[in-house]
Amino acid sequence: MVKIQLENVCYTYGPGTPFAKAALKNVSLSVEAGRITGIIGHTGSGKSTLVRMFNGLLSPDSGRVLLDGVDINADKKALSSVRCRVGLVMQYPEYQLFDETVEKDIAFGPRNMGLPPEEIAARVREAAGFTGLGEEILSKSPFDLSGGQKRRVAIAGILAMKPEVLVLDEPAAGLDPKGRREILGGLVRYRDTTGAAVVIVSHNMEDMASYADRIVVLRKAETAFEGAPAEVFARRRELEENGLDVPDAVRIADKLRERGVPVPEEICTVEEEAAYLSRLLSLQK
Amino acid sequence: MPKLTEPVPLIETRDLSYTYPDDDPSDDVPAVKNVSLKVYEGEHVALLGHNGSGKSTLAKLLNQILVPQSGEVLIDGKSCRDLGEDDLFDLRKNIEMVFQNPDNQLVATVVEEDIAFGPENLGVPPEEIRRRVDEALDAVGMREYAKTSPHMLSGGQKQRIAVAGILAMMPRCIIFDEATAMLDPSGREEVMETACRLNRERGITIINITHRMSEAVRADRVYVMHEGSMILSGTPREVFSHIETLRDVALEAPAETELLYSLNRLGGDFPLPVLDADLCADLIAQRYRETKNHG
Repeated sequence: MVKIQLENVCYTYGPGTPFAKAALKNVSLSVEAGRITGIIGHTGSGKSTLVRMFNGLLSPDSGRVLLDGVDINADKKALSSVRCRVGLVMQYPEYQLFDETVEKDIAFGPRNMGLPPEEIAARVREAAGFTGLGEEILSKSPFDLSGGQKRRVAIAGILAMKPEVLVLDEPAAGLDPKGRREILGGLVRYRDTTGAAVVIVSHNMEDMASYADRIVVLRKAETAFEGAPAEVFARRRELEENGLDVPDAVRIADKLRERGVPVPEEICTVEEEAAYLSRLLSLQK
Repeated sequence: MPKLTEPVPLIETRDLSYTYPDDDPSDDVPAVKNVSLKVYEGEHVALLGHNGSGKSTLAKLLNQILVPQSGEVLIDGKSCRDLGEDDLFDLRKNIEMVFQNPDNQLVATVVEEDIAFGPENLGVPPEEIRRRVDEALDAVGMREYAKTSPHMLSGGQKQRIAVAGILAMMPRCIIFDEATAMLDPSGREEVMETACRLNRERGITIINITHRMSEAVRADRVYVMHEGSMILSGTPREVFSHIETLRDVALEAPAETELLYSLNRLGGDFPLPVLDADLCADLIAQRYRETKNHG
């Protein structure tokens, strides 16, 4: 089911000035409920502008953004309710933490939505659970936590609003491998539990291969191509020309194919590759 | 007779410990615990560890931003412990840092002015600054952007400008503190390639703090920290042969080693570690041909 649809969205920064720069040109794409859509693109390809379209932080110069078929920019007064339904986690969201305790910080969003206290308390715990934060963390000051924990508190603050669409700009940047898996695994659990549409912008091709159902490639303010991870990563040369890359497993698979080992193009994670090769090589314990 | 062949390390730490000051000293956990290491001039060192393992604290101790509570840092064999402000200032010029977020470390509105900022503060004469700025721009391959505004650049280009600004101060060692974490794949490669070239061609010592195993493979030596202590050190081959230890501390090995390790757990017998994709593919292809011939 299509949750958010962008129709021919155009956006230019500084229009009419010598510095005018088209950030989005005729971008059309749809984001489905219950699926994780990955967005990849070189620095300056328009990813961050695109992310701000989803909840109306920016509105298109032309074209439409439809949430459940309704143009979110048609009625500016309705935008605050759109922002409760579409949660946006910016880069380095931990810099936005401000309250005395983790619990109060996570509760900020639901409190502004006017929810009753019991509901807020329940949502805070549920959101903390998704991001792997224990009960003992809730009474601490967010400023006493490690960087990875702060990041999770910030994401939990958005999850507590139970958005139908969750948009995250580089949610795992700067985290160690385990921290990445925990955050991204939490987003999968949120999607599975709520059926929300999840959009993740990332420069990490391994994460995209492991977690995205579908990947959209942006190039110079336009959508270059899109598809399932395996379809996208099969177009290695185009990705590399765009300053992108393929996951390590795809790089190794290419080298195996060069050497005559039949590895299907569907394989784009190390786990899948190991499982496939163990059968191909008839390995036995 | 003292051994004459042993060179003096550029940076040495002896039993270094540091605890961040806290309101409640009773539950203080040291961020760096009894770390001893030696970094020689011209080495390229990678420092790995999960978030909060003490890597960045160690980096700040190395260039005297933080002062250790116990243990000591030696530069060229000289202890930094009892130095006055002036001497510390001179020592600090040897070791400079590039941080994660390029936007937080650029100060001027024109690229070449940004690069001149460091040498200006060191009191370098104007003609000499001009020469250094041009040379630094060449070294990072950004000469054509001298008159550009930094905010017009990509992330990788901004980091290269940050590196140029540091080169203009002519340090002997540059610490990259997760300097590629925010960059897209081509930006990461630009910065890594610049670091490796400075190391190779100019003998500048590189300490690269990173979460990316593919970067660590390019170093001469790899150090791994966990909860403030140094738990592994050695060549990339030595360190990445401890794959179980790495997993225990929330890290991993490069993809080639991870793949063969998984295959070994399923009954394979590949030699580990393998840090090169061609070798990895050769080993699997050979095994594939053997399987086909037998079956």
